Amino acid sequence: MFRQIVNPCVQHMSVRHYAGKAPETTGREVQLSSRRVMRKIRMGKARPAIFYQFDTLVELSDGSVIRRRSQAPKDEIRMLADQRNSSLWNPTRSDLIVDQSHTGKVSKFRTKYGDYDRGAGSEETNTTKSDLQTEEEREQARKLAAEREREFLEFMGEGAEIITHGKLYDKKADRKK
Amino acid sequence: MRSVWVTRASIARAYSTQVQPVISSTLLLSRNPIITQEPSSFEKQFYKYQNELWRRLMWTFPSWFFFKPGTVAEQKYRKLNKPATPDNPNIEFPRGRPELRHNRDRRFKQTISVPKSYEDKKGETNAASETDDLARKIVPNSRITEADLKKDLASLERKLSRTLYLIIKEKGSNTWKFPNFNVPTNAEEVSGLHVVAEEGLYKIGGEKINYFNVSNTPCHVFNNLQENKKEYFIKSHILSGIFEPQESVAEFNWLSKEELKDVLPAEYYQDVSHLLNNV
Repeated sequence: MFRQIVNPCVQHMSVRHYAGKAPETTGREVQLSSRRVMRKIRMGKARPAIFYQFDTLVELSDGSVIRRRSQAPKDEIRMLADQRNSSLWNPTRSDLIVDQSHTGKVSKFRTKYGDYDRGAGSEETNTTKSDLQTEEEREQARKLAAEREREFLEFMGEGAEIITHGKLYDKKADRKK
Repeated sequence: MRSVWVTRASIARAYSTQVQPVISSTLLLSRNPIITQEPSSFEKQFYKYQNELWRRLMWTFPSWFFFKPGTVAEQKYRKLNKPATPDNPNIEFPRGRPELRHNRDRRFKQTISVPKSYEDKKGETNAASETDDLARKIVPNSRITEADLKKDLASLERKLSRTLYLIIKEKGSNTWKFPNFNVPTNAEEVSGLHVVAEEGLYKIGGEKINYFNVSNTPCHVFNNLQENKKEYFIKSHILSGIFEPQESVAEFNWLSKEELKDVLPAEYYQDVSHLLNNV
């Protein structure tokens, strides 16, 4: 709290202006209504809720720079796609080039999973093709699978064998017993 | 009876000899300001004061929210922002005791410096990397353009904070004026004032202009007594593109209101000045 500086000349006066009681003066002219209840302003409640804001320079895609306040802890923000190179806001311009490779979350997602649909499509075509596959190709695939299995067994070490029957160990079932 | 006939004849005669004024439309093509005006010294002081108040009222920066404890970003942040000196009852503080709340001295505004996204290269100036590098430092562009320095009055990139108006000097004439086009008198060719102005703009300035016509209704009429002309003013803004003078145009300029006062004929300017923007 701020230290109260009390003038010795007016020491007899009450300084609790806000605490509920109206200030009493020596003269009888001033009488504030006793009904009015002054709300006490608590510590830290005297100021409006403005969150900390930085002075930020924003560079738009066309190179123009804007100074603004922002809550994001950055001095500088560079926009790669904004209203200046969006075809939505510039319907008359045909020369707009937006580098989609590094703009936003959506494009990032697309670069990662964009081939998913295409891959699924190709698989479909593969299955349709599989009917037409020749016997030779099938034989080749079978050989490849056998080779893989052999490699895996080698990797597991001597005496390893593939169990083709029986039950897998179930931890939950074991706990119940 | 006779006297009445005489008077009628005289009236009819007077009317038939009078030439009807030519109707024309004048294009008031403006380039709107691109940047805000430079604030006056009083405005600067006012905004500075308000900004300081605003800064004092701001809540303490929640660094724990933006920089998660235990991350590299937080380490960088802590390096830049040293914690404030705590209050110690055994030490005398000549400038007042610190009051710390959430690592902030409540007596003062909070100033926080954040880690820079660009690499601070001192002395190194590599032009090629500066233009390409996405992590380069952002520097606000100059408010004074090349056209301002060269005093190129025909450039659209001059006086970015002012409204500029197109004036032309036609071939053979020696006076500056706003582009003016006569409305054709043939019944077949007659068209609206705004159509005449728009078609005229393309005729004098080429078709590489993207403009916005404010209204089909003229905003002003100027009685040109010398040429017996009624000039209707059509307001329009240039949005993009370039004015390329065609054959009929000898010279053209983009000028602000003050400059127009010196260039246009005094009577003409006085009649038109209220249409021009002070900003």
